[in-house]
Amino acid sequence: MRLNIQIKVIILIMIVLLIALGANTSISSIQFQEDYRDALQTGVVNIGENLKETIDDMLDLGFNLNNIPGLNEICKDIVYRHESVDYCFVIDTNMSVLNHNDPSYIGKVVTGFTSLTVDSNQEVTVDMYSFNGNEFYDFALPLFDKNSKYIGSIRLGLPVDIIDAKLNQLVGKSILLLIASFVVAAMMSIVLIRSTTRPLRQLMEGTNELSKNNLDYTIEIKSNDEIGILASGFNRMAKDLKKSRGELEDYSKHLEKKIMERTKDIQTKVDELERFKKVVVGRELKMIELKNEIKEINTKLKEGHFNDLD
Amino acid sequence: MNQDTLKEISFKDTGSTEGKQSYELRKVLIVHSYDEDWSWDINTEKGIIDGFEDKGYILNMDYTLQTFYMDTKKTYVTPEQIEERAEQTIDIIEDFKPDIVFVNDDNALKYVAVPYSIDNPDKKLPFIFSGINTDPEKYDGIDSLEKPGHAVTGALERFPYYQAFSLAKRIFPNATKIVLFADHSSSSNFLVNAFNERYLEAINNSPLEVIDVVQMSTFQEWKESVEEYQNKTDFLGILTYHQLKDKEGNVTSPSEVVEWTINNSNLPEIGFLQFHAEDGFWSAVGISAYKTGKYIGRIGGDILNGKDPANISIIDPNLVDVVFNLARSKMLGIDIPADILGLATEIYQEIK
Repeated sequence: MRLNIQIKVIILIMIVLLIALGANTSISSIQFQEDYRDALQTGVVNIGENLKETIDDMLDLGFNLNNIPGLNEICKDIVYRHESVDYCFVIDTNMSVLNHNDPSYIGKVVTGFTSLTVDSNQEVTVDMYSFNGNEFYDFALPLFDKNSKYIGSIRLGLPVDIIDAKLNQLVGKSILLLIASFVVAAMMSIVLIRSTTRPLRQLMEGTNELSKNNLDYTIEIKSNDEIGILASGFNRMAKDLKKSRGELEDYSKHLEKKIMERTKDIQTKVDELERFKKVVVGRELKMIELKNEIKEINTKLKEGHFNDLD
Repeated sequence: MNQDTLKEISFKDTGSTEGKQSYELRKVLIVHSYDEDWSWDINTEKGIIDGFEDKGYILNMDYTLQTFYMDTKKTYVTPEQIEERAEQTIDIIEDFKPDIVFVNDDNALKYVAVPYSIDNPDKKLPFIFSGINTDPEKYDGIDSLEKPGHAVTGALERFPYYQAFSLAKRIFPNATKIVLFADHSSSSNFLVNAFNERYLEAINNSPLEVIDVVQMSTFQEWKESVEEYQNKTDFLGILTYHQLKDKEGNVTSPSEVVEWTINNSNLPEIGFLQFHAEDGFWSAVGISAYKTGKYIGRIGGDILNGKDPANISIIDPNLVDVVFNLARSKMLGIDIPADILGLATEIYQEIK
């Protein structure tokens, strides 16, 4: 299959565009995933720290960790308010659930979680856990009593699939954007390429017309680029060619006239010569006649026939 | 070594005070949407200062603080006046050149933080908001709650209905129903819509059944509704009561509304802002201005320590104050259990 320049350039642009957009989308997605995870984790840590502050206030008021009123409701409130938090509960040092957004878990011992080994380190720890087939970033915020003794922890679960879902959403949007960009770029490049190849096509047509002796054909190209210069050169060439042909035709017509005039002159001369010839021949005949008459007269004179003389 | 280098070394560190020997104090600007009499603003500001301190920034030692009240609730109330006030605030920002700006309530966010951050993206001046009832994602300068994407982040203000209803249920285990009352102001309309959207449609197993959400334009309608629901519900939920009109069309004073209500109703009231109990209603379970301020103060400290506000999720910090009015409790003959009373951050002994 033969591809013309237009198709070749469009394909080239599309390939470059596809590579550029694809690379950009990939890099953006990776960066976004990291930033988004960081942002969500910061948010969950902040939620946890606020809950910790509430619990610390209760502990300061003299409540025991296993008997803080309304803590289940607060945990439930946190989960229903924040899409990024899938579970919220408080456990003691034996990993026994004291409060939970789902009260059915209260009193159960959590297994699978790493117990916090926190004496002086009060930082939040994050680990990944799998629970009921779902993966979570588990945030553990240690709780301390008035004597800074570790008494338990707050656990908040950020579902990993939220990040994946957001990333998929982003990738979906990126693909749509990519397709849209692709279509727009394709249309623009077609327009651009057409605007470039149209004058070339006009030049081709012009050449064809010239070959058919249509010297009146002109190309209307207003651009100042190389094609514009070529087109104006073509037009100039056609104009010059037309002028030369006109001059040639003029000369040809003039030559015929001159030949006719010359022919006429020659004919006149021929006629004159003919007439002259006739005159000369007439005279010659006359002379012959005269000579014969003279000869006859002389003969008669010699014979004495004077009466026969006219 | 120049000061810029010192600043960079000081504040790119972790939140500790180590190495904070900058010669130049940081500058903090707090912009309140309302006026100096608005207790929410005062308590938020106290919280911001304490939250900053948690991150190692002490007022007048590590930073200077300037406060500006836009006063858009009492004095500058029309859109044109609010715009003008916002321009003044932006002039203050240009003159003071703060390192961080806290904006309190919707007008300061809408008219100052969002336009400034959009118009001056290169300056990357961090804005941290609080007290925002609306959805901040509607603004161009905020991409999403999870990842704001620009220099504007902060805390949402969402009424803690679930916790309030749970607390009421704890005190009255046999109670099942509550009705919500609100006036007809635009902010009340928003609150009612938000309640329907964020609570009624979002939560299952509400501790109390919300039998009605009643909006009233006049004080007379309020009175009739209070009387009507005496035998239909267990609690009166109080959303708003500051824009009820009398027969002449004048706004009835809130104290008159409270006084009439507590003298003509035998139902315990649950408000959602601290001053509801201070005014005389039985209880209020509301967002804590101080704790919220402290929360955003800590965020501010993190940002000054190098954290990117674009990557700090906007959350509802869910920091609640429980407040009781014991005078009203006595009128109703209610003995609040000691453990519940212990949760209260404030107890009022009299009616305002």
